[in-house]
Amino acid sequence: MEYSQRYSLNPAFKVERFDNEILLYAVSDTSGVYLNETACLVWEMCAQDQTVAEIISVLEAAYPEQAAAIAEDVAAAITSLVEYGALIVSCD
Amino acid sequence: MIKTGCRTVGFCGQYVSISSYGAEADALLDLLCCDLTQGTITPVQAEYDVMSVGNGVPGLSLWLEGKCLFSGQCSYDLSYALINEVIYQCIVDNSAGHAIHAAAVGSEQGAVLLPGKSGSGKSTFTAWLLSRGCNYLTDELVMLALEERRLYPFTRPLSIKSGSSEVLATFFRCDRGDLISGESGFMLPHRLLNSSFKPHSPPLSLVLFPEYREGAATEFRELSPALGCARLMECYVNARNIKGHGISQLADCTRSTPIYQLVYGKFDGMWELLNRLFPALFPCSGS
Repeated sequence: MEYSQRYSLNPAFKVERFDNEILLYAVSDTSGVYLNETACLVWEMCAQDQTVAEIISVLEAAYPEQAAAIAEDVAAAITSLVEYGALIVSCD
Repeated sequence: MIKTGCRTVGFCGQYVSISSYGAEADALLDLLCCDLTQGTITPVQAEYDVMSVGNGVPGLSLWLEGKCLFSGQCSYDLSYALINEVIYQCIVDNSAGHAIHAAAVGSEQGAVLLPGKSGSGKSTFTAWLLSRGCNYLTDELVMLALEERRLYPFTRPLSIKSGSSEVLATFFRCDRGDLISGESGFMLPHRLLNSSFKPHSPPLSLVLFPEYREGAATEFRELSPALGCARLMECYVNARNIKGHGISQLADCTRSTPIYQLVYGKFDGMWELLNRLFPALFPCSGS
């Protein structure tokens, strides 16, 4: 994964927010994807135009006890959201 | 070819008419349709004919406005095809509520919704619940009216896959003559499992996602409202009929309803566990 990459939210998806979780669903059909707390944070930081490296850095500072696993978790969450079509690679 | 019967049946305001030709067709329709809403509403969504004699086709046949949809000897295959047709006609363009592929049991005090894909084990689990005294609602489809939070069930005989026969036999024995049988499965009249059936449209009290796994120990896992809503969406069959797909309404429902995943491989100790977790819905008297 390219750590300087930014991702943007696909506007074709709607968001249903729960406490610390999110349900994304495509407007064109009723397929949905559940985001746990970590994936939810990644989603929100992508919405703020942060790079992958910036997202990892923020989460490592917030959860130092889990720092070793955060880069892998963030990459996995982004990969899965891109595969689902909910995140789009930013071209700038 | 003499018409021997005609009925208008449906679900949540949409109806079909089914005419029968012959005593075998009459008896089959009596069994399949006896708990569906009977109506006189016209125009109907579609007009079907079920024949056990005549029209140049040997055995049983199902017709939609002159087109043959099924012909053969197997009453189960015809029943399966007919029920799927009725469900389709009752759901297509129906925006009376949220149609969910799910079984359900319950009384006027509250309903347990058991959503799941075909083969997940929901019909077998439902059959077991009936054998323990629960009131049958459906093993296939409910309309969830979200404003009133009530379930409107599509009440048909239970449809059990042949592969589930062994599990069913652990708590229920019956004469094959009581069933509509075929190679791939059979339809089991729910009154054979619990004769004290009362039709209800109860409020939703609990969502359980049953999943049969051979040999697995019984395990309940509470799902968060978000995860529960995502799982419910997988069983949601008429979203396109509802403004905004109704996901926000569905989400509101999952925020206020307990949702569990249930993995089971046998029924030993199951009732005691259900009673401990949900005493109001599964009281001690279940036997």
